[in-house]
Amino acid sequence: MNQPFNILIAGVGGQGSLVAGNVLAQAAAISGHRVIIGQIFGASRRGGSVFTHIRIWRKDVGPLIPKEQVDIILGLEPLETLRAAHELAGKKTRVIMSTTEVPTLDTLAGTLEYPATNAILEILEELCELVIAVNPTDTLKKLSASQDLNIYMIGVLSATQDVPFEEGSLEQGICKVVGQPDRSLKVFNKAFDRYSQ
Amino acid sequence: MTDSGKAIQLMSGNEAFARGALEAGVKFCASYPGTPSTEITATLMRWAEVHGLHVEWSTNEKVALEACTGASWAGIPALCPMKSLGLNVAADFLLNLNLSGTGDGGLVIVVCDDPRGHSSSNEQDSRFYAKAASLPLFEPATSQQAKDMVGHAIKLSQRYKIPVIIRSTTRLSHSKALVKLGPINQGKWKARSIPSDLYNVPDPHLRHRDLLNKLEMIREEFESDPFNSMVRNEINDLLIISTGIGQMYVQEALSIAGLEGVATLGLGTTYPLPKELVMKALSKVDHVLFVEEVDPFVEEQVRAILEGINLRIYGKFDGTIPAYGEINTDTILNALMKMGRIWVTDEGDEIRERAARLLIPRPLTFCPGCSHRNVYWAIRKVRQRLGGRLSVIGDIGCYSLGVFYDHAMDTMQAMGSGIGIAGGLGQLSEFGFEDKIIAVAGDSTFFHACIPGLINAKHKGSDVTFMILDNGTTAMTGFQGHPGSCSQSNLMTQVSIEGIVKAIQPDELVRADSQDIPRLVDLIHTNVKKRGLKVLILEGVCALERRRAGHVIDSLHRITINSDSCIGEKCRICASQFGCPAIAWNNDTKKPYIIDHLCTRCRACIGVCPQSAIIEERLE
Repeated sequence: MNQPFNILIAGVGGQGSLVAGNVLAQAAAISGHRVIIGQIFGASRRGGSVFTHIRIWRKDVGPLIPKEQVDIILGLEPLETLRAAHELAGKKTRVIMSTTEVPTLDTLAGTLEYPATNAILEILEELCELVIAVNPTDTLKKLSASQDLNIYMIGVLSATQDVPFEEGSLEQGICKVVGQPDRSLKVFNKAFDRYSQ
Repeated sequence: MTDSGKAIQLMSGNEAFARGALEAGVKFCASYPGTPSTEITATLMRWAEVHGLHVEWSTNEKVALEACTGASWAGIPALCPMKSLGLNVAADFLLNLNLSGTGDGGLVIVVCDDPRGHSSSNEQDSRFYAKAASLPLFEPATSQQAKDMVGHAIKLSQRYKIPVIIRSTTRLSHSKALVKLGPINQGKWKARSIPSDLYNVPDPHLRHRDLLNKLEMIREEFESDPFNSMVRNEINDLLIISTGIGQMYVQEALSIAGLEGVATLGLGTTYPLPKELVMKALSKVDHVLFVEEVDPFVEEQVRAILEGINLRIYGKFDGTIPAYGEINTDTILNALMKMGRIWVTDEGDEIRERAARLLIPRPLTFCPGCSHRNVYWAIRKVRQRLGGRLSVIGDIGCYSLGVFYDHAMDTMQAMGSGIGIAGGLGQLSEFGFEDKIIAVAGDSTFFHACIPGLINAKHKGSDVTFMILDNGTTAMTGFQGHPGSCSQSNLMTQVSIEGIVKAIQPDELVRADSQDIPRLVDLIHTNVKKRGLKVLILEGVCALERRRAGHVIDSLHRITINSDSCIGEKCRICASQFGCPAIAWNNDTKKPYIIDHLCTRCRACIGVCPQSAIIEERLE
């Protein structure tokens, strides 16, 4: 790598963005890289947008990915993926996005309409190099692992993209960070197998 | 927690501060929770027993700093972490302690600023307190420096017998990076009697003189401090001076811009300014750019010593970098553009504009099952009954979200200021002020700063209804205990809010449950109409805290909406006005429905529906 490898996780408070960030960072450290997680947490983020920046390189960098320098957007939620892309995506950005929507207070109340998935995907495709949309809801339901959307998305990431993680390091990262490693590893492998082909 | 001198760990800036304290032999930590500082104390609290530390959540930051000072005087190394606004509370004491001095133990204050106000009501730059109190100040750039600076600072404090301040920011405190650990200080400390003459009278000015002398000696030490780094490269006409995490942004911006050759001076010690180091760095350049967060703190100090030197200065004074908000790598790239060092062409703006049009906001709200929503709903109803003639004076906590809840809360300033302002408004009847006044505060805020305001309101006969929203925890910052919490650990004694209020003898004192909305509306309305000081202690629950504590949701019942009695579009009160995230609107049936997996079975919405269509169902 002659410049930092930047992953931006975009989601909603409670979706496990911070846990996903920790898994990726642990895997990067295990793979022998320097790594920093740029994040903000606290009550102010309850139910709001959460962006987690993971920056991997051979030396230390600041916690925030500069504009257009994102390599991967790992989108846990369509609207937040669009928000992240609008702010920081560039020509080299590849997007992996879950299409399962988390409504906002206004869409719950019916006063605003949640943007159509197709419209979101269209813009993402224009802004970024590549967009992979996945719908993990049924698989997660089958595995009784609805909390593991974040891990599923990491599985898709590692199956489809050239990422700077050594073999086995993501699994080690998962075991180090999550509460129920057995269930999460099952989810990770399921996603990996499905998207490897 | 490993004790190896070689281990490398992923640590947030706050965890690194805590680890640094452990390695520096800190044995006493007192603090009040506040984002973005909370995890420093929370982390030390987890290690307290194993490593023989005293770690406490104090009632407020001033009390915490005073407790830490006692420890330092008795020879025990002390750490006092707080958020930016906390230092305002502790400042009265700090600006006396600087002259009286600390003890053999040493004392380090870590103040965590919040540029952009991610979790704060302002974005103050607390570095001015170092200047106001004439105290040394450090600013770490990385988690590693955060850890290492604590030991460095405590030694400085022990040698000069004054408090030393370390300033962090949200991005450093919350970001996680790799930190090389050092050995934990296993030293034993025995408390001894406090030194003599720990006061500033009768000659505070001479104490001030002595402090300034110490500061000059510290300035000389800072000239060669290891946390200041000068890099001189081949582009010799420009120097960038940066502090704290700004140093990381500068390096990256120069790399993106292809300007790696620009000379840089990174300052880890920003007060007193290492003048000779700065002057030497400036001696060979014609242009200088300052990069710091939030105020032009270093820029101002350097400008003051540049008298008569011909130099083009870029920074916050000339607007090259905004003097408000957070900075990042892009801020510096923009600055380099304004300075004519780089040229950037904007591409993809049209697509971004279309993306912006598609985006909708994701506003913050009370959690499902949060009893604060019930209180504000009730206040909204009372305001309607009073024809709008009601002012709700707010305070700081989760319930501050009331400002976003149909403006149910009219004001929000500092911890405890709600009852103080209300006490003033409640005495304006002689000037024709006719609105009814409600002050709102949480339980932890009550202990922090409400008691003098409440006593003043009683003493002056103020006409106020004071509502204490008691959920038994400091919920906003992650459920820290406080003196009123039901469960107390480590031989601590519960202090009853009701007992304190009773002693102040308000005209009315009522305890009520904030789950039952119709009764709540009547209770508030009745009390607001009475004259005098009325205190309502409203017991509530924090649904998040309950879930965290392992509370299982009642699976024998569920809340549903009877679509026969629901009048749908003609009403929409539950879905569009009550604002519980567990109530959604179905665009096909034009009726609301309950999102069962989010519903906590708090039953509050049952009382909100005018058609009695929301019902509790027993599952077979």
